[in-house]
Amino acid sequence: MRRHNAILAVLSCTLLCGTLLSCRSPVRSDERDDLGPELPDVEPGEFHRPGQPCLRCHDSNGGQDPEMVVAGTIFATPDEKIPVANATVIVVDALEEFRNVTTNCVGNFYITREDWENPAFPLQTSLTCPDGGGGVMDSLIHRDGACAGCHEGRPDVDSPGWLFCYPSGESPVSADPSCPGRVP
Amino acid sequence: MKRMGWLYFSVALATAASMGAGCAGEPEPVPSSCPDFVDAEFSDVAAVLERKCGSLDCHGQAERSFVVFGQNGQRRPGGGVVPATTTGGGGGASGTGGGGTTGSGGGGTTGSGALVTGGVQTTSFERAGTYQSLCALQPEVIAEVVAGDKPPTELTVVRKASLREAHKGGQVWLVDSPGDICLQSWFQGDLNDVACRQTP
Repeated sequence: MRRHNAILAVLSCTLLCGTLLSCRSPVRSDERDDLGPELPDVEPGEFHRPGQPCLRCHDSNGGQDPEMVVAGTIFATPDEKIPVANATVIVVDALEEFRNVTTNCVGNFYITREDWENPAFPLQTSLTCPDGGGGVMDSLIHRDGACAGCHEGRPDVDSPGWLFCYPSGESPVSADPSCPGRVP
Repeated sequence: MKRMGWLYFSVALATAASMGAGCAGEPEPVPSSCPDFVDAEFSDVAAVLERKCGSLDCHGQAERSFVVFGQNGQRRPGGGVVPATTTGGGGGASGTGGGGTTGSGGGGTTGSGALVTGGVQTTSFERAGTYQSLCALQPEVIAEVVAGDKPPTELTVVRKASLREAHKGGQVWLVDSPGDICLQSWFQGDLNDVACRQTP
């Protein structure tokens, strides 16, 4: 009888474990793992991980402070990931509330949840580069406030490429060597 | 003892069922009863879907069950296969056409004419892909709607967009707004192209 109970316990445990494992979604943790480690010479903070999808960690599920609602990085050209500082990003929500943010020396910008508790999607964005150039994004943001969630890598069938200021030619800006962050 | 045997059997059966559920066979394909794919007509609907549903962070993703292909979202490489009833011509999707967006903020490529997000205009082949995806959502219900046996508001795609039914992406348009009318009218075989073009 005792053996029967043990077998029953094992079978029940197998069933329970199988059920629990089937409910676990590894997607988010895989996404975070895919981002790789921090650069050894850059402290986690506003200058780290330029060009990566910030909200993978800095959203309500990511667990990293500060929680962000929109965040991204502006680079110089479609060919060179040179950070552009002092570019202005304007985000307007469906209720016509808006926020302005400026990129830092590694090209990063972000709007925290504290600054904008509940933007109403879809969002429209525009970019003004330091020289006055820029434009309005062709499509709206419907869900993902991480710019690099869509603007990743070079242009492809599922990406318009990273965000940039200068469509062609050589970059008129260069990376700031005194910046606490850098592009890998 | 006999009771214990039944207990083992029941637990083993439950275990096997839970493990086998994820490996169930493919269901039989249901023939599409969608309105015919007429590119010149569907392009009005596709334009609305691209604009309102097809961004890369929503249904402009190849992994979604409802995929919207288009210029500013997911591209569909290739161009050889379109539904047999197509009258709009084949795809010609790769490497042709005008340049992409210039400037910034919208991303895109500059003048390469490539089939990338923000690049060449939506192709007929891509609209056909959107059509196929749309029609595969609820083929049985679509057949009843097309036959006039059910109203288009029975369709999940119509219901979700207007938030008659819960939708992760929120309310895309109001009930009886131009977008709502555009989509419903197409399923009913009497496209209201004015409503489609009025959709912001």
